Amino acid sequence: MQEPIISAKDLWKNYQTGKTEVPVINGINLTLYKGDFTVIMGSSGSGKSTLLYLLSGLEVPSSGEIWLEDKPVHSLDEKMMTLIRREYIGFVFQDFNLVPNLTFLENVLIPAYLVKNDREALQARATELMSKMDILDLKDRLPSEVSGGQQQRCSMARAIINNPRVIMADEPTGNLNSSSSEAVLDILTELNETGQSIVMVTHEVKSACRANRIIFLKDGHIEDELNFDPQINAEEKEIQLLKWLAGKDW
Amino acid sequence: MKGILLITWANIKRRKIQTILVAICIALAALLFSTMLGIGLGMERPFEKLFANLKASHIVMEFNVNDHNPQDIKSWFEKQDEVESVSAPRIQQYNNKRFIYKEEEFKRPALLREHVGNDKSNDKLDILQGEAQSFPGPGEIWIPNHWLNNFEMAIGDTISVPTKNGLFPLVVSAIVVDAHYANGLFDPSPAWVGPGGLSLLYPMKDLSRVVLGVRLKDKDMVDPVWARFNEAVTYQGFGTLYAFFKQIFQIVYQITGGLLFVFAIFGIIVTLIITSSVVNSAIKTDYKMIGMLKAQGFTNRNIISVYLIQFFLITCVAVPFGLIGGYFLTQLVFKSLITAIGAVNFDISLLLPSIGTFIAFLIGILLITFRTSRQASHIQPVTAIRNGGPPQKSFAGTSFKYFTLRPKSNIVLFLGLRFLMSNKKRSIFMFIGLLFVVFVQLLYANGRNSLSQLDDNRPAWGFNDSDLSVRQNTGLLENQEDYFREAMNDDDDRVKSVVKRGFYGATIPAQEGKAPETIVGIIYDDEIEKVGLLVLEGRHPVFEDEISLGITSSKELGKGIGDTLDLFLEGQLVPYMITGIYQSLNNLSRGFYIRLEGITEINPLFQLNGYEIKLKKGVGITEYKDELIQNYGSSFRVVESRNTLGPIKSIISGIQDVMTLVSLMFLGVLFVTVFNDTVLSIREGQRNLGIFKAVGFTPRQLQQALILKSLIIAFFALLVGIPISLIVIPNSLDMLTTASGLSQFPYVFNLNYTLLVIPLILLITVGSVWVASRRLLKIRPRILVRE
Repeated sequence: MQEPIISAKDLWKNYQTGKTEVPVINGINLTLYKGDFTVIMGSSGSGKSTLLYLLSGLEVPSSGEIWLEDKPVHSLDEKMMTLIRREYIGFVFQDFNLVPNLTFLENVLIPAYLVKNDREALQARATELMSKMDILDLKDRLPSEVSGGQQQRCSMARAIINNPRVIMADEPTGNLNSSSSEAVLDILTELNETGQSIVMVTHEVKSACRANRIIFLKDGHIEDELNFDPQINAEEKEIQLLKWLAGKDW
Repeated sequence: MKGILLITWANIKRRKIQTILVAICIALAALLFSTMLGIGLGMERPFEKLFANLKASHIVMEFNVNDHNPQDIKSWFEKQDEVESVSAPRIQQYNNKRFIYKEEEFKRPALLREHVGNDKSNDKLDILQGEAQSFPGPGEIWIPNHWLNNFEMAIGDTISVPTKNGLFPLVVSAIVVDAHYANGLFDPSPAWVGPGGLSLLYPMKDLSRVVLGVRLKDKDMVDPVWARFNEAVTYQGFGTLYAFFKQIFQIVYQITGGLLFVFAIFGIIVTLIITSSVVNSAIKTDYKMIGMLKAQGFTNRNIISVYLIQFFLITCVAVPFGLIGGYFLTQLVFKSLITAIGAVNFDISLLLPSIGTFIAFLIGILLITFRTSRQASHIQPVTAIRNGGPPQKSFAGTSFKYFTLRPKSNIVLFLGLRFLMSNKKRSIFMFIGLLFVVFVQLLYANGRNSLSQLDDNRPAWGFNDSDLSVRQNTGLLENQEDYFREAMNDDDDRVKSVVKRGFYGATIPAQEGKAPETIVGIIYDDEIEKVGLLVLEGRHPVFEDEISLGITSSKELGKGIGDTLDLFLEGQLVPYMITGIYQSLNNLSRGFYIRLEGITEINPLFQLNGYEIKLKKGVGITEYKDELIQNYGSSFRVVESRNTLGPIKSIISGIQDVMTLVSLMFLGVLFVTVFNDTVLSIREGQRNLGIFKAVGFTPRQLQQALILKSLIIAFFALLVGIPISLIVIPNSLDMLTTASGLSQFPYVFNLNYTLLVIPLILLITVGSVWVASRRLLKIRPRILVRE
């Protein structure tokens, strides 16, 4: 029996565009489980990034409920939401979103310093993580001085430094070349193998094959869902996924 | 061109808050600047206009008919080519007794002068209220408008004039304005009766003083004509010249205008700083857009034009608001003047100051916009589009440990410092802006304190610090035995000291290129220091051949300590050695102090008729005064010395009002400066703030970091500004008041007020950041991150 970590009930999100309200998420019901690597796929404008932001508490739903374990995200004020996000969520953005005037090390340490007091231990953990991500020698560099792949690895180190319950990744390989993408996906896979829950938005088949569960969104609602057989290899996964996606508008 | 205008308009709409903030600053600075110009350019106008309308005399002489035949003097002047007209001799009577109004003594000394008629050639009186007559009828008195304003008198009221035969009632039949004494700063102040009116009140032997006025065709000819007259006639009376009347009339506005000049300059600097910051920030946030525009074919000139047009429009809208405010502030400054001369309308043209302000601001703002926006020329389209912003600076390896994140770093302080350093130029600009605010607030706190300390700090203003001022009401010879003084000194252990004093008019003989001048001095029969009078240099006279000189007289005569000053008194030229230089608001530091022996040496019959009494500590001044009045009745007029400074206090009160207003305006400037900086910081760092929120900073922590950033700047502005201001302020005040005869402004530092400025500035800083960053609390991280 899998243990739920995030659940959404009748989730709606509308955006105001001038005088008209544009629905983006239309009544989604969804449960994500601990230790899962879930990928959200869909065409442009299907609402996949919005769903990710809603699930992480970075966006407020128009209606419906979101539960992070037993925490009602939908009814928390921003401060409480922030405090919970620190503990529960690590976020990886498509365009990295590192603070441009902080060094790599500072970017990684900042969220950790907000949560824990054992600063020396945090320094050691940051160094260890950066070493694992192969960016330790860049610790005093600014984001603008390094490549996109290195920035995304730094962003991942930042996302996991607080050992969050879930890592949310919004197209983390969207701005990377293939080798950098592979490296980033390898890190995510390794993390998942250690029991880390991951939710990733992507439209790349290769990236999606790293997951064990695929959710397909269309026009703001879940159109379909695919669960990979844990026994099949990556090649089989890719074939299965391509077949599954055939006929879907993505 | 249409494309440029479209982008300009879009910028203005997109940055509404910024546009409003810059507009507020421009409007405030324009307000100060136009007021300063208005005062500077308009100061002379009411005086000149009044002088011309009333055909006022440029030379006013007052002399004893026993010394000179008025007709001889009149005819001498009438023969001069430069003279337009000479008034008929007008008899004047002044004695020590005060007028009585509503059973109370007048607070200020007054004299009676005969008005020979408004239909005569010069020195007309402008009738503000009452029947238009040529002169007051029998039993009537015309009073100056400043009496109406200060003592709330009205037509039909009765004023009792003391005569030998008791009080004589005169009915107020007109309220008038005269050109020489309209602002009420002269003592004694004249009131007018009709021709022959004085002879009904006083015996002829007491009516020997006459006033004669000479109006010239050209006011610039006053000195040569006066010099020629003194060469031709050995004149023994008083002569007051046009320049002195004008100076007295304008002195308040000179000081206020000077203060506003300083404030206006500060206001302009702060405005230019804010404008520069806003343009600079706009270019940073528009970095990508500028790159895109350039890629689409916009030239550097096109980009710069966008900002120039934007700030041209803002200036065009903001300056008129400032000018409207300036109109009202100028009115406030001139209020006392307008009331004094009884003007119904505000008759000072502000057209020239308005045009001047508009042009100055347009040039200043466009220049600073052009200079700042030129950096847009350096933006490379490809880099801008790719990076989306200017290159960032690393703080890694910096020696200042607080700038790098360390295990012991306070995370909010770290962030605050990073905000501070992320745009050093703007932080420095804000620091400079706050320095000016600190200066203005300290100037206000200590300047106002110094002004309000006039009563307790009279010696520094050039007034004696006696507790009671006593003047003898009866004839001089009745006081031969000086029983009053002896009673004070010998029999009353509540009295610390009694010094006898009186006024004396002397003439400084003509010197090379200079006309003879009559100056009034004060004679003391004891150590002058006993009544607290101070010297700027040297010492007050001790011996009969010594004199101390007011600093204005010293400068005008080119004489200093050790020099000999020849005074013409009692028909003789008497040399005195200058032993001290003093300052005094009294007569704008024109005058002298001599010991009684210095006069009795020449005129043994000369007597002093006033006493300055200093009581011992703890003795009730009012109680002692009442006791003296009870003991001596009407033989002496006893007043508390601190109550004799009425006109000066009214000047000071006007200056204080202006200072309060400007201080409040600069607190507004402080709020706007900090608010602007915070809004710019948020806008420039919007994406970063979104990231910080996403990684776990609470909105409150981010707000605290922004507050810390501004507090650090405010703290350093206070740290640097307070000592600098405390050094600069006294010197600035010295400069501002030199024209009024105070070369050393009686600056009284007040530690409490100074310390109060610190929390005030910090509190407004915090409040401003708090208000400006409130929006930050509400914005969802995704919106910030998404830009």
